[in-house]
Amino acid sequence: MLKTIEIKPGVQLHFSPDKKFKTTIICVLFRRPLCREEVTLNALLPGVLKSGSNKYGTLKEINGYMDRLYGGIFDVQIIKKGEEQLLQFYIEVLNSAFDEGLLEKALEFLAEIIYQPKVWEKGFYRDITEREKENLRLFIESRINSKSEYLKLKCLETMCGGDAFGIYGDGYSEDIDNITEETLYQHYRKVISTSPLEIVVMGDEEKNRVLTGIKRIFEPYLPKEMMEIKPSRPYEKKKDRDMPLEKEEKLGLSQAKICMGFGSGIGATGKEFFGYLLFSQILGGGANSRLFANVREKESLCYNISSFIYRFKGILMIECGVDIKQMDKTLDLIREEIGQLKDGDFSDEETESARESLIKVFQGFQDHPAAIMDFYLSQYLLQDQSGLDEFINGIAKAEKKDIVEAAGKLYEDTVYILQ
Amino acid sequence: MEEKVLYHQALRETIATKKLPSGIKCYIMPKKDYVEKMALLAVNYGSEDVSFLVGGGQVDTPPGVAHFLEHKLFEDLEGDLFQAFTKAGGDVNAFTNYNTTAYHFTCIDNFEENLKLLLRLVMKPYFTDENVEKEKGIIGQEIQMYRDYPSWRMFFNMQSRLYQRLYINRDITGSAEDIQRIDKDILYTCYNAFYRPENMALICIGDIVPEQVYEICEGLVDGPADKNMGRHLNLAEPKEVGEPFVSEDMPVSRTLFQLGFKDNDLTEDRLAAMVGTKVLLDYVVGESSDLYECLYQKGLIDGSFSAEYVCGPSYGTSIFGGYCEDPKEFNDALLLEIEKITAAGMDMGRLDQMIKKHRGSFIRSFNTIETTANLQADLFNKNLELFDLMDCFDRLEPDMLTQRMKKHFNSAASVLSVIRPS
Repeated sequence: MLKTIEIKPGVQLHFSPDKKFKTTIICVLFRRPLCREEVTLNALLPGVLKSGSNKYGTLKEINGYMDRLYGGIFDVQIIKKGEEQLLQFYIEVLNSAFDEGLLEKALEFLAEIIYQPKVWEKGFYRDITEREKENLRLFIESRINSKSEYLKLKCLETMCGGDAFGIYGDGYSEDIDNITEETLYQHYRKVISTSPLEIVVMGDEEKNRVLTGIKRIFEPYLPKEMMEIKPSRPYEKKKDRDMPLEKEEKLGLSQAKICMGFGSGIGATGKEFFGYLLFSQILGGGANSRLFANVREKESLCYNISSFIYRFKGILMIECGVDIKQMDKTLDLIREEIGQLKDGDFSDEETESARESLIKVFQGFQDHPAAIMDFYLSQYLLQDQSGLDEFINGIAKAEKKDIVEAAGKLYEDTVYILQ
Repeated sequence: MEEKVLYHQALRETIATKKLPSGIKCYIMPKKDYVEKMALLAVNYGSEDVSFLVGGGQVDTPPGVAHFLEHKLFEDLEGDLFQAFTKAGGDVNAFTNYNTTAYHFTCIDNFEENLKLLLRLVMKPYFTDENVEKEKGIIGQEIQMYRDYPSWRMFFNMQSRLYQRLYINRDITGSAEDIQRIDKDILYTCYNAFYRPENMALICIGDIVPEQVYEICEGLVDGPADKNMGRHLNLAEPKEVGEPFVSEDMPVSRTLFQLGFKDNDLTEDRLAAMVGTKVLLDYVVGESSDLYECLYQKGLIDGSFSAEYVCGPSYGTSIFGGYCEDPKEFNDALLLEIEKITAAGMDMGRLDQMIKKHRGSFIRSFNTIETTANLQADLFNKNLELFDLMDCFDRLEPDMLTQRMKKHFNSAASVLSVIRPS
């Protein structure tokens, strides 16, 4: 499991010497608060930085180097977590047991990509910047192509409009034109010199070797002082508008895709949160859930229906796809199920079954490097000290009254429908 | 059959295989340090088997039966098996593709109990007129959901033009009209023809004792009394494609394409062809290739681009795809590059680099038990085993690959499928 070691204030190593995986993952994350002014600048950095560095001048050279590291995986991307926008540099290579020295090569490579970009006079290369601006613009426009993702995004945007969490982590096309290779480079300097930094290393490696490698390779670049980032807060109810807010968008689809967003004000840790998790699991967490059993199996109204929680914001979402004529009937059924759970009208059997399913999911994280990393990173960002075992224990101990209490705080905020 | 236990030095994995007296073939990979355990039961019967042979005659069914069966087997006399799994702590699911129907679960505790449930699910069908009718509503919405996926629609548009006779030219689910024609009797006919131990593989991965699996399996798996097993129909697929181009308008932001090449060179050494073609695709247009770099810089392709080779016992297809404003320009650039490479011969250094990459990726794939199980399920209907794949890299020769490139990438055997913004 991941242990956090401070390299210097604001720079942490999160390390897990897991022996069972074939690969070692190294991840360097720069943390930025989500804000409208810089979101698109941050979103443009991955494309530009992975196009080449001083030593690996082109995409072809970078990818060729990855081939030679036995098909190493390298990527730079933006991750949105709560009210933070993380700039992530990721590399995965076979661990040192397969080939001695891959760990150091991977660390050196990441440092090179992060700190030695190709620079021309006072900015990045113009042709690269322009191409990546175009790629980002097309990417942003392509959100609509994945209907399910688009639906969730639109529902969240409608719901959280003015909040930081309502900001798209991938940026806005209207910002792109004004960005130049020089303004982007200035922003890049700011990011690497002021952002708190998390370094994650997971794999069958020795701790001292990892620490020595990081100190040798990264220390020269680390900034003296870093900005502070406030932890995310739960979504707050909008007092000045209708509840629920209903929106429809017509795209000429074969079925109606419904997304319902609920607020709760419930925080991401503690008893109430575990009650909330169980509530969502009973409601729409799997094949045994209320929604699946009644809306799908009993009424044959849909194929996919589920509920899930955005932990950082205490938001619950329900998503399903139904025949357009059956929309109202489906919404009624969903609301009816929620009403019953709010009244405490659910069996101990349902609670236990939901609990077991959830525990299994979190225990299973141990077999999936990406899941372990994501879990511990979330814990760290939420300033929650508990590890995976304690978290699972929280689920194990939650009682029916915690579930009912959490359910009592739930309110329907937004319904977004694509047709 | 005797149990065969193999240890692979480079992979550091062990696999035990054994064919049980009932005829089912077990593949067991013990992974002691994993908390999850997985079992996958693969039936060598998929959406391609629309028509098949039983005894002396041919049976013709509506498309979509294999997938319909997959849905219906979750129900038995006592109700919904989903819930029984959940009670036992098992996370169960299933999928159908062209050649395989697979049922699988993962669990942490109660592996034996879950395995028994899985075998009951597959071995004890319970179809009634009523429960078959009810499923049509659910599958109907599943079909509608997929219809709204641009990449899914593009893929099936391509398949239906690439293949003139093989039933891989239809949706796996069948169409909304096809499923209306499915009834209880059709389901039983197909079930009895293919759901037989000698037509199944059981793949188990995790901290599992092989003997236990054999024992449970032998107690619960038996074949129907009727000796007539279904046989796959060998349809002769013409070398030519039906139509070289297909385009559809959908609510998307920009043009998407897939370019497919039908494999008319289904040689004896299918494994080398399969692994070799994947290496070839990477050699020609992978992210470290000249062509990729040139097209990326031009803005013709972007990070969404991919190239893959998919195959089954009766077919193989190389597919290139992604966002692209001018797919025809991509097509021309690709064919020109292939011509160039075949004329000049392959660069040994680059080929070695590609083989190294694929070897490493293959080793990495053993990180995830689900990936490993799915891969073995896919190899089962080709009569291949996991470790064969690793050893196959040594057999890849530049001459063989160059020959393959010449034969396979033939524009007369290709279809371009495009989705344009409506």
